[in-house]
Amino acid sequence: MSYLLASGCSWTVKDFNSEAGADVDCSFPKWPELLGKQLGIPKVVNVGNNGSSNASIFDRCYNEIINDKPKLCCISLSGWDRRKMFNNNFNIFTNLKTYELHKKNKLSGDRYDFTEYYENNQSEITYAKFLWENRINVASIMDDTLRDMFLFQSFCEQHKIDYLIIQSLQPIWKFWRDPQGFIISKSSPSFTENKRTDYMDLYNISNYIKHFLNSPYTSKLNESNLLGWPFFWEIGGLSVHDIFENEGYDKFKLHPNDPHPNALGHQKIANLFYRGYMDVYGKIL
Amino acid sequence: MSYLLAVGDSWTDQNFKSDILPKYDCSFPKWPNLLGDKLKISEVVNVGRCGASNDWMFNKCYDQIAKRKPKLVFVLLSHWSRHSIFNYNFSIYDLLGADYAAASGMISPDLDYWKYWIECERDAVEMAKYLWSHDLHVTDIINHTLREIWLFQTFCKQHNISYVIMSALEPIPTSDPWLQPFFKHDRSAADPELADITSYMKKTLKSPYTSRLNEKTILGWPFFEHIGGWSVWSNFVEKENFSFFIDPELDCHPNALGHKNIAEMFYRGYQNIYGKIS
Repeated sequence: MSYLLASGCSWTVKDFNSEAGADVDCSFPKWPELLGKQLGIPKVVNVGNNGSSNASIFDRCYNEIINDKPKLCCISLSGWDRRKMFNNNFNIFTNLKTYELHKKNKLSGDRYDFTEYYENNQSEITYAKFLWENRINVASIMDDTLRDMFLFQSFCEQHKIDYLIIQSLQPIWKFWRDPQGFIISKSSPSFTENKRTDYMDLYNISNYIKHFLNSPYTSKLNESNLLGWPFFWEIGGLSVHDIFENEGYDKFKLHPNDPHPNALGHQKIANLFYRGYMDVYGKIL
Repeated sequence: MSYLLAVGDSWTDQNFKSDILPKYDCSFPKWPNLLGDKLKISEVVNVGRCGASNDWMFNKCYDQIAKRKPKLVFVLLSHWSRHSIFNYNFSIYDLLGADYAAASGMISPDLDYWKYWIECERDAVEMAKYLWSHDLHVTDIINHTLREIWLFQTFCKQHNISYVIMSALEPIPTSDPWLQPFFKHDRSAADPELADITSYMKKTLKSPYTSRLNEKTILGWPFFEHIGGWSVWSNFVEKENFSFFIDPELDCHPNALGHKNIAEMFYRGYQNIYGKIS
């Protein structure tokens, strides 16, 4: 019997520790281990990594597969604005939001405290601003993840590896948007300081969804293996975050100040994968 | 008849213009069109772009293939130390080298272009310095390109697409005069191996991806001269074919003759691999 390979961001990490405090117990089993038990696969390789971008999530799968082919690969995607550079991962919208909160003297806001993050991530924040003001476009944000999914799907089909993909966070998290659907807020310095002529494309969530629907990759994806597809709640998809919200997020939350999944949340994710596996492959391994 | 897809960096870019010698006429045909003529393929799609990283190149190939399947793909790789982020190509060693050269007075007044470039890319330079001193490792740089090549080979095999890969430049710009003192004197690297040029070759040979590559379709493999490989750059320099460059002192991009030579290299490589011209 081959093994179960699981990859994702902090929602997957086996030894996850909460930044909400050392007293928050995170020793419960995570979804890959729970899923392995449900499917009767004794060997589980969990390559989840904190802060991971989707590109990095797929890279770590290939790094395992090159050495030993798994029976099943389960992917839990992260925010689509995240990017890797070599082995580093950048959370672009977190950095932009932090910059905005800093300029508004709201780092320690009512939901999350970004003070420490701002102090420890100056280079990344500066670089995120540089990218936002000069380089990023909607097409590249959307196509990068869609292309990675398409390549991974092609790869698994060629090598006869069972696979399932789920979206943990919302692809473009609601927290980054204002009530009108603008990415970051319209009063953000990232907005007002921006000199680009195409800046409006970047701020309006509907442009991301339009590009998602029109991307040449979207029609080539095998939807049955993508649980919650098309992932964006605006067009009828679901992320795990949305499922938690629909059922009352608080009961799945690790801590009032930490939205990562608790033991019940991880069990929920394992169940989603298990049901997805039964639907797609219709068998117990 | 389907089309020829070509990708690369400034050595491939259809609209390449010399930044350092702006009056130099760069309207000559580039290697993708010359190769198309040799292979008698009338439609050539050239998605090469100045400054492109290897991952960006493969991404553009996939983007094009997703729209319409080509008959042949030719990839002319660049430095492995480049990395795309969104649609921007981040050239970490070019940034570090040029910044070091500017700070240490190595850039002469007639190369104001580089000083201007460094100013425009100031935030990127700071990011490059941050990565270099915090969390950059030789293994990650090496595996980044090797993984991309392996995935591309796997993809082309599955989709029955013929392809040839070659490298324009040395994988790591070890002969760049600006970078040699940087590697030698800068000791702020997070990974001390970053400044040891031999470590890049060792890691290439040891990478799990290396043994799984189909070497037959990669001309000049393993690219590093010291371990028996070659790039177009090393080929030109070793044969002292400086007549292939726009200006061997100021702009070492290929001129018209250089592009003919690259087309010829790809053409012969294609014949050796696939044994037929169709």
